[in-house]
Amino acid sequence: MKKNSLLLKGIFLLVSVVFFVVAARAEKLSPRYTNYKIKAKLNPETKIVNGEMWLTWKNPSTDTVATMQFHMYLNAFKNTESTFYKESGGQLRGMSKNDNDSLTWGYVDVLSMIDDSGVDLASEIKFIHPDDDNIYDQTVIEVPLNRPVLPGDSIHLHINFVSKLPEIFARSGYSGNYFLVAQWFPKPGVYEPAGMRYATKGQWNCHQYHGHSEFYANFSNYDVEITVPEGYVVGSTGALQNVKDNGDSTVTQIYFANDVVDFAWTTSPRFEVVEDMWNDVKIMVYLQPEHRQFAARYISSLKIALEYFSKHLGKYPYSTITVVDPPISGSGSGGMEYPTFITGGSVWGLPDEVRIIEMVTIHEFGHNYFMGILASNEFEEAFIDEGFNTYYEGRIMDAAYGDSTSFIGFRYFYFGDRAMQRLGYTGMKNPKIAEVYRYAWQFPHGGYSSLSYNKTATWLMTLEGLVGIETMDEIMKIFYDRWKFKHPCARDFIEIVNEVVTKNLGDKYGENMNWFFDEVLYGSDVCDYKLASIKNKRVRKPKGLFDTIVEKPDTSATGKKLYESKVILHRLGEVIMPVEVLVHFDNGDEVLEHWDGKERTKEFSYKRSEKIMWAQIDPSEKIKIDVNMLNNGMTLEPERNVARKYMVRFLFVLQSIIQTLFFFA
Amino acid sequence: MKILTAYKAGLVGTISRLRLVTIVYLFVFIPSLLVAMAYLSAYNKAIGLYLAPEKLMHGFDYTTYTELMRFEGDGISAIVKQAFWLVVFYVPVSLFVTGGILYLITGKYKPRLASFVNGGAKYFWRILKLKFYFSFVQLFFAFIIYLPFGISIAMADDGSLNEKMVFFKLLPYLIVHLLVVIYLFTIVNYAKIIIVSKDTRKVLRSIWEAVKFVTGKFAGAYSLTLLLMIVPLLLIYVYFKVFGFLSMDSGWVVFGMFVIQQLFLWLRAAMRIWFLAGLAEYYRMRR
Repeated sequence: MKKNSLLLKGIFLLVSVVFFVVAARAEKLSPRYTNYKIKAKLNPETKIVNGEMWLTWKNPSTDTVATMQFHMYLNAFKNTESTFYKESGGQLRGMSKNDNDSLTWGYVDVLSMIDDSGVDLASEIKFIHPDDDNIYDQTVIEVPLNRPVLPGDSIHLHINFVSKLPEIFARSGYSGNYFLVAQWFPKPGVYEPAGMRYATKGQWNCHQYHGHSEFYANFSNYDVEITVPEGYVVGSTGALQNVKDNGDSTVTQIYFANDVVDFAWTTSPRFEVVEDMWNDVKIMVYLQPEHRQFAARYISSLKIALEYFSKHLGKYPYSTITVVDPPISGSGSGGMEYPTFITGGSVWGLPDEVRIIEMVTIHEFGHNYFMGILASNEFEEAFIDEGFNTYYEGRIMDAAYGDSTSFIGFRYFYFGDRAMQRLGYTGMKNPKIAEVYRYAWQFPHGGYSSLSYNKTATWLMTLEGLVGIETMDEIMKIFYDRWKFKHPCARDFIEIVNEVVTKNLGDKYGENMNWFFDEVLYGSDVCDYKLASIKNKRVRKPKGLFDTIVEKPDTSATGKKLYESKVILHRLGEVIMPVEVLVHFDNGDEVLEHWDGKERTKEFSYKRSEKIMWAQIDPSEKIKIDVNMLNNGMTLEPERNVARKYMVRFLFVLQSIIQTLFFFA
Repeated sequence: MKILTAYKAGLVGTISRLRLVTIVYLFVFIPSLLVAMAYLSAYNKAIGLYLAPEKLMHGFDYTTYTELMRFEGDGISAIVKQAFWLVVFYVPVSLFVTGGILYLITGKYKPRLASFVNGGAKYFWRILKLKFYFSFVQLFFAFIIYLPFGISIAMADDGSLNEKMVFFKLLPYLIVHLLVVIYLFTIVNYAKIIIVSKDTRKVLRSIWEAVKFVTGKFAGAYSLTLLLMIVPLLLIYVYFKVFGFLSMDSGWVVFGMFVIQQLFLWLRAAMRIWFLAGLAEYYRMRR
């Protein structure tokens, strides 16, 4: 045992030295509390990846840590009783799974877990359920350590594992000979020392795999050897270092990835790879042959995203970005994000005007900044990842493809990405269904994406409208610079908003912006301002007796008619936002009023020789979170030709359908 | 060359029956206009005094359109549902109209409304029976044509299929189906002509006669059907190419489009009569 122990220590030392020498060449961007060397071999017939992993974990706290917790996320696909399966109902991303074929289910098993003193901890492993009482869920394990890890000290584990990939219906697995291998190896959770995020004492933060959330992990270095049959094309997180022909009809590809929170890869003999460069970043697109024509769209949208993020948030710190275009049968793995490695989505024949490829690519790339580099806790604060990223997706899409045509751009039917995001929230049957700030698995049915993605993007647009784009950019840049590679939380973002807004705008919006977050992040109420009425009343000449004490009012100083005009505004929602009101008079004059938005009813009155023709709350549409913009404006001369236009179209369509019936009658 | 003679005769017959064209056109226009007026009223009510719908006049604003439908669109949705039922109602009415047209064409009657209605009523049940039989025939042929495609897809390995392969596998079946549909369409039209021209109640016998006629004179009958479909398809193409995407951003343009659209629909009614008159003439010449 002792001999074994010494041998193991020697191997660990050697592996660690080699690995760290190579890794140290790269600039250290993150704390790198975990480091991995993994050897993975795929058997495409059995859909099994046999893995051998050398793991180093460094205790970041002042605590002595006696146990470790690991994600075992492929077990989410083990049966219908996992928490993920129950939450998703076996249906996700338009695909479903409900069969009894053992080949199509997935799992991950730890065969051995040997620490640096040679003790196999595998027999001590137990499944835990930190998020629910589902005893059948096996997506998190806890391992009591033979030797507790002292503050600042490290532990080395040699783990043999086997990962059976599921047939793809959500995110990971296989479809025919296409493999998207994600969440595939035992991965330690994040040990949060007291003071980190919301931790009041040192603790493992290691959530189960959920229907809507799967990311929170340490920044790590990865050295991964992937062995596949000859002819299989491999794409992966990180950068390719070497390719070895093993002489047994298999090849091994070695990838390094530094300062990343996860590692995923793909392989298929059908991939066609298109490469390009953006500055020093190598772009690789892994395409299905039938989607070859979309290579330019993937590359172009990636370059747009790289350019925009680098300019508005921070330089992309990695040397590669890989996009995988899944086959239609594996579309459940599309639209996913992993560090430096994303999956897109396309369908043969998709017209250029439907910018799904661009939208998905830009969105998933953006996750590299939020899930990947900032690496907030997606389980607990999904909005920081999904919502912030959706906000940037909208900005980039609208800037690149036009704000009214960025998502659908046909000649006479078009709409923009940001408009779609806003309507994703405001169009909910019940936008008050929940507040944005809650754990990802605790949203009521249908609420997660509308609130985490769309409402967050909408309140960020509103914040942008209130503070201006320059201040917004400054907020986001400072947030990114201060918290990259550090796992920020909501509190950290709010502190920066308060700091920058106060610096740039003084007390324009009060002592701080906490009120804003109370409304949009922690509250579930809605914002709705309505222009209730416009009144123009002719001022008549006074009649009756007047004396020197009460003088006769002058109603026609200029000889023109005089009107007492009013604009009456209502606040229908509970959310209070400062708004502007534009009042337009019949001679073309316009007055811009400012209202703090607090009262339930507000009047603006004028005595002028012109009548009010129309008025508009929030004319610049800054308050995107207003759930009904239709009632923001009123006019005394509505455009009746709109109704005629749509009536003419309606009549034509109706007659055409009936006449077509005649033809086939 | 008899197909060209029939083709021309159909055209001449249509030109000489412009009143019939107008009757057929009005048969659709008047009820549709009533529903459209209700639609206009509902739309005006929905717009009310809102300012935002102005954005729908000059281009298309997705947000305004969506919010208008969401918050004020109940009345509009109700009218659209009514329109759906109008279309359903017109499924049998279209058989009535076909009967009326054929009655006037084959009987060489003057195109009067009364005669049109008489003919429509007289042959309605026979044409309905014919359509009923042919619906089953269409389903049967569709089943036979697509069965091998369905089997090949079901037997294929899920992972090896992609949408492009499926499309190109399907394409020959679609083409075959289209050719068969045109063949059946030709037969059913001749069957109607036989029913009306012979004033027979024997629908099945008429179908059999039509099958013999079309199959026996396949090249001529099939070509004439295709020939008679060219102008309507060309008309549709030209309309959508020239006017289909015209932006209606002022009252005058809206009115102009209304006139152009109605002219187009009137021409479509004329095409239908031309089609039937051409076939009827060919049947008269070749039977």
